[in-house]
Amino acid sequence: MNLGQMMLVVVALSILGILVLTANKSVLSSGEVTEDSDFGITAVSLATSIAEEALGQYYDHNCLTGEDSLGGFTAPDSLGSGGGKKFASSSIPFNDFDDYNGIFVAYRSDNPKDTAPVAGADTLITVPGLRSRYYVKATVGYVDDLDPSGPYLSIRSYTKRMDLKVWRPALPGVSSKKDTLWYPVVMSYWP
Amino acid sequence: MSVALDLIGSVVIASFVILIGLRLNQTIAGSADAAGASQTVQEAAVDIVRSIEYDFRKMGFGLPQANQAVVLNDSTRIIFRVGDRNNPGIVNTIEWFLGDTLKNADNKRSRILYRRVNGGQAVGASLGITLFKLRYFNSNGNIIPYNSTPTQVTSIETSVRVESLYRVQGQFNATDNSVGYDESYNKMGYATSFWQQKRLTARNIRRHG
Repeated sequence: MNLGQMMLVVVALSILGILVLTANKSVLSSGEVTEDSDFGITAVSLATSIAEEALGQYYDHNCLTGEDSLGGFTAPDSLGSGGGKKFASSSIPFNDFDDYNGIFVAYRSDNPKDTAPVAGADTLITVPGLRSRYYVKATVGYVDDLDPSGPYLSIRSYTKRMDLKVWRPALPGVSSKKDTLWYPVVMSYWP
Repeated sequence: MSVALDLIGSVVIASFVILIGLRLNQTIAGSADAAGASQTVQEAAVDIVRSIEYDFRKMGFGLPQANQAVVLNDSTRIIFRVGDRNNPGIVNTIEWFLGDTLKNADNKRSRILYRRVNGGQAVGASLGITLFKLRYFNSNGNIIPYNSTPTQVTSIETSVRVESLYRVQGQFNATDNSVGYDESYNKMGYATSFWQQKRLTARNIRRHG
């Protein structure tokens, strides 16, 4: 085999190598898209659970006593659970929408090896069938009644928005992109 | 001698190239199959959940008392009442229940989820559902035992898992506790999609004013 033939073989193998790498990249990309959409389905279901629960609560705990004026609602910088109330607690459960401000809920699978505690989590819920850990954080604030998608206000209003963020802790190590589901929920109160 | 070496070298290199090509073909075909199965499973899961949501969201609507919403609370069967928006006073009874496992399917866990309205013919489709589990909670968040006190149900947790009807590569195999790529068919797993959601039976039963 002379030098010319050798060069042809090297070029052919290089082209084949590029083809294989391209195909591999395509396969991995396809798998990532499938995984992302699968993650999205489960993440939406978990976020909706919290949103649904929150929407079943009072707008403000002062509404319990019939309060319906802006000045009687909880101050913007005091939104959150207080008085021993705790998420997923049956003893002193949440009773208003803004109790969910600042909660951090971790969901784990029923895999026996998945037992590591989660620092800072209010509760660690086991969901049989879940294939990964999911973390959910919520923030609640007053927003403009006419622009509920706008920024949080530093004054009281008749509309509150909960921003739920769901992500998988394992994902950032695998993918470079920040893969967090943002799920906003708006609750309005009209006296 | 030189010609023989050239021939042997060519055969060896050609063999490797053919092997690479075959392996590439297998990987791409398996990946396309897995992607298609995953997409089908996810679409089936979304369709099932959308149908469930459509009914569950209306649970208790138009009833004189919200606690009349749930009639039967079983683990894989629920019967509830919904008022008719267009015909005030008319109350419909909706039933959702899970059928038996499909005997002829490759995935022996797959079942059919049925929906029945006002005691009529149950309607279902083989979409690969392998889990449909319901849990019921009272207003304090405590679990209500199955087939008891449905009037206390204020929220329902629905878990749905849909799996492909055949095995595909790159999916978790629970039997072997592994992910199968290029092993035999039985070493592979089923494409899976999971959904779990807690929903109130009636929006206004706890909120006032």
